[in-house]
Amino acid sequence: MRQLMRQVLAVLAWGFLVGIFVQVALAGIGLFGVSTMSYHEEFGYWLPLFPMAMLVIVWPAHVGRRTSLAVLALTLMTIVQTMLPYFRDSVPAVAALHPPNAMLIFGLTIFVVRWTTDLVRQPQATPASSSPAEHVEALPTD
Amino acid sequence: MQMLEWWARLSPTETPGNTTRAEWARRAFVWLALAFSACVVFQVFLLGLQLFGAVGSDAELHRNFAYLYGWLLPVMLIAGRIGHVSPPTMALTGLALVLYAVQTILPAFTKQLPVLGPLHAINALVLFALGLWLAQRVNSRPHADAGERV
Repeated sequence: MRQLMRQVLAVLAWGFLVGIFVQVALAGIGLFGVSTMSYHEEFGYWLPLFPMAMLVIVWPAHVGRRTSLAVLALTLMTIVQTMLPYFRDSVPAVAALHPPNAMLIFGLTIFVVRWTTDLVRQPQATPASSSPAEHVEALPTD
Repeated sequence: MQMLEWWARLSPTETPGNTTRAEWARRAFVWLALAFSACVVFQVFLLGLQLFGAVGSDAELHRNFAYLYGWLLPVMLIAGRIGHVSPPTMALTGLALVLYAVQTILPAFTKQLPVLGPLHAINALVLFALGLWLAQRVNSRPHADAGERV
């Protein structure tokens, strides 16, 4: 069950990474006048579902503190990301954080993808005494 | 020819005397890569300022800042050479330099070919990730990344 949850988590992380690429491409399409920004806006409201679903799965998947906190941060950053453009009229400088926040979400997602993929790849057999957090710490960092 | 000799002299066979120099160069490489990624993030913040009307509608700030930090990549190549980073890491740094060059010229072609617009945005993501990856690659295994020369 734990391994299945880890696989689902990894798939969601990869899906979210692909979703970010699509979202950025849609932004580029809107900015350079190929189409309107409406596709970027619409897709932007669906994208937070990925980290939200991941947040639900991190507990049964026993991924350890580092990955859990990263997924929590991703969820919060993605929710904030959808709110930032609303500051366009009141505080434009805050709304301007929308693109750099996207970059930071992308950067953090790369790490989450890597950590969750490593978890799926590692051997299933673990000592009964070791906690999930300890097990994750034993993973190679590179 | 002189350039090639200068390039070869940058990475002499390691001796106890120049090992420290190589370590410092690797450390510089890591910081330069992180600075590059930070500059990409600031670059898109400048775009945000323009898009959301904080500094008017002209993309001049975003455009001009792009030419300010491109030098980091050639310096990374030199630091990588002195620091004996592995050939794949050097190749990735070279790739970052090529992608950066492409990034600066892409907007000029988007008027004729608007389809290239999304590439400009995606290429920015790739450059940001490459900077982070290069920094992590050299930082996490400073000796292993020194290639077969160590």
